[in-house]
Amino acid sequence: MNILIVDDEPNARKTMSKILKAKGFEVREAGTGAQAVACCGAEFFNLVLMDMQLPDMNGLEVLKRVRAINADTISIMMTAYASLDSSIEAMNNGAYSYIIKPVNMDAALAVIDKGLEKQRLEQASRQLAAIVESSIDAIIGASLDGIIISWNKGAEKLYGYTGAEVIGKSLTILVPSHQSGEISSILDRVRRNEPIQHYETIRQAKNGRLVDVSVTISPVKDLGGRIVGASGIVRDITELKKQNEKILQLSQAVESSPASIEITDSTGLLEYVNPKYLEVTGYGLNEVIGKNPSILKSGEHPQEFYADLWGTITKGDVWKGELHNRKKNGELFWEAASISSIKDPKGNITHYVAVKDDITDRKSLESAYKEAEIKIAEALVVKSEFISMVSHELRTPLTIIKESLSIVYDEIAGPINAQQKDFLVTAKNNVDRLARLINDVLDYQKLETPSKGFEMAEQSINDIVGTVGQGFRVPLARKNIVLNMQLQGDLPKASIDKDKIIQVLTNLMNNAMKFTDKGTISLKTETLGDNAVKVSVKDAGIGIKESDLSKLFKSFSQISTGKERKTGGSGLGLVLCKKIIEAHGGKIGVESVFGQGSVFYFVLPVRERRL
Amino acid sequence: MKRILIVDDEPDILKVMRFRLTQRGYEIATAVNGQEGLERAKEFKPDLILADIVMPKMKGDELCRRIKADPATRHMAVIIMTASIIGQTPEAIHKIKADGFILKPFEPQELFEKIKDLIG
Repeated sequence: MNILIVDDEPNARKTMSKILKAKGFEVREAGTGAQAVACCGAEFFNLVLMDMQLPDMNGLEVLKRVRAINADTISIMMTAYASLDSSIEAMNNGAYSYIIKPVNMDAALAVIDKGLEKQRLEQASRQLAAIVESSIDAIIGASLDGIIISWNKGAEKLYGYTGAEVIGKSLTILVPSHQSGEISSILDRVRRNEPIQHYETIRQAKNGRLVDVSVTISPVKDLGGRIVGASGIVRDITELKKQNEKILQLSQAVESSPASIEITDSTGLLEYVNPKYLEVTGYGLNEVIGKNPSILKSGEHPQEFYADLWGTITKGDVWKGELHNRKKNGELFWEAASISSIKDPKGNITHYVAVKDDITDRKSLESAYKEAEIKIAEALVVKSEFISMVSHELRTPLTIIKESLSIVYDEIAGPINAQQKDFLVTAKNNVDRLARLINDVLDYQKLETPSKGFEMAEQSINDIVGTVGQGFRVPLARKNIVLNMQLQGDLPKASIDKDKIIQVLTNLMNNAMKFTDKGTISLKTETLGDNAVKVSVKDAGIGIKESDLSKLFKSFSQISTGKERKTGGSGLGLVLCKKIIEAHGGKIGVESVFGQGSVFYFVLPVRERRL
Repeated sequence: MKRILIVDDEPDILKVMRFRLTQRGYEIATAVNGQEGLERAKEFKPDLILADIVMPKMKGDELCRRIKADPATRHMAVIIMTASIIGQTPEAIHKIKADGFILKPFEPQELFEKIKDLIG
């Protein structure tokens, strides 16, 4: 505390200074009004003791100037005359008090103490006001009948009203109409001296907006201890509530998630597991919290598996994989897990989260499927061996029958008549038919066995078509059928299995010959765009009904025509052709109008056009 | 007269083939497996052996290999005659040094031509 003594009498100053210093004050002295003003300009004084009679300036004038510099300085006037006039004027101009000269120091000290006390109170109350004013919460004072008395900046911000707009009005303007009874019940509680803390309710701002708030209300008492009003602190919790709701939603989602969810701290100890986790594992909550997730370890994975998992997540990366774990009852189960880390704003890992789906059912299906696949593969091998064996067993008696028939037919064993010969031809034809059927079944079998690869090589399609066509010239001529070859000259080569394509083309030509009694069979090659060649065989037969077209390329589905019966076939020929062409990445098809013949064609891909 | 040894475990095959080829003017001997075929080949000294593959005791391909490995018999022509086409690739036939191959059942004419080409 520092005090300035302003007096033109050095002895009087000295005396007072000595006493005040002894009391612990810091003291400065000024002999003139000008000196006093200069001192106050240079530093702050808690208190100025000022003689009214100064040589250069009237004390009243000095008072005015000192207060102009800082009105917080307490000014006490010293006057030799108990002049009521000058004293009152000084008081009116802001002086705190006056003392009569010659100064009675005990009395003076009492006045000084009171002045400084007032200053302290003033300062404290000003600090409080500043706190209230700068609070982000609304702080509102009200009388017991609900009239607003004070209104801080925070209130202004929250409600949108200025102090001038609401002071003197009822608190009810701050409450939505459907809650209008709230104020009176709050005031009742205040009257009963019951504080209200963190009471959550809704208030209405000037613009009508409803605000979620938390309210704390305390009774205000007068000096006699009577409750005279209420002070309320109102906090806007709209955002907080929204966040809380979001957190609630999220936690509900986690709680009711159909996936197992576990959260560990950064050292890997379980802090949380959701109900699904407990349901799947069979553990109780208190059996797992604080434990390591490895309580589910089954020993089915090698140590490196877990090392990789930890290495991944401690790096901050997400680990995804399938875990073979063990339930509380010892049962093994499979989980598809995704484990990731949660980081604080600085990037330090604080938690790990695992989301896991029970995939035991899927896993057992997978292994059942694999077993089934192996069984099917085994069955295919057995089937293939069986077919080979059966065909071998069938061929041997066929050879004997055929040979015996031939011996009789060729009359090596003696002459036979024409009718006998005719029946032998019928028998021989059917032996041949059986032999063809066996060949087709074997071919079909070979194509179904995946290991039987194709031997692909660049080949000229025209050469193949030419060769096959040439081979049919004689049999066709015997039936008086004309063969018309139309081979496109610049046909590109294709990568094919030559023998297989010959088999397809021979099959198509055989069919064409079978169904054509007279007329022309056309054999044609052409390019189809830049990367395909088309080979087609056009017959002059009766054609195929539209309803039968789709059956043509299906296994063992023969179309019932008189021709078919007469000529015989396994019903596998076109199926074989389709398989062969599709294995080449090509396409086989037929166009036919019933009564006008058919065009069977296949398209093979080629890599590039020959220049 | 040219001699042909027919080796097959099917007596009926032997019966019809013997009849057929005798009629064509060949002298015929038969055996019912590879082992017997090998012995008959040594004593009968055929110009051509017609051998089935799937037979007990010794299979036709083994018979062929032995015929072709023995300086006393390697001049004899061998035609493999089988009902099983599995594994009968041209490479496999070449490997056992057979002179010909025919799939059962066959046209008699086809067989006659093969025999004629080899031994006349």
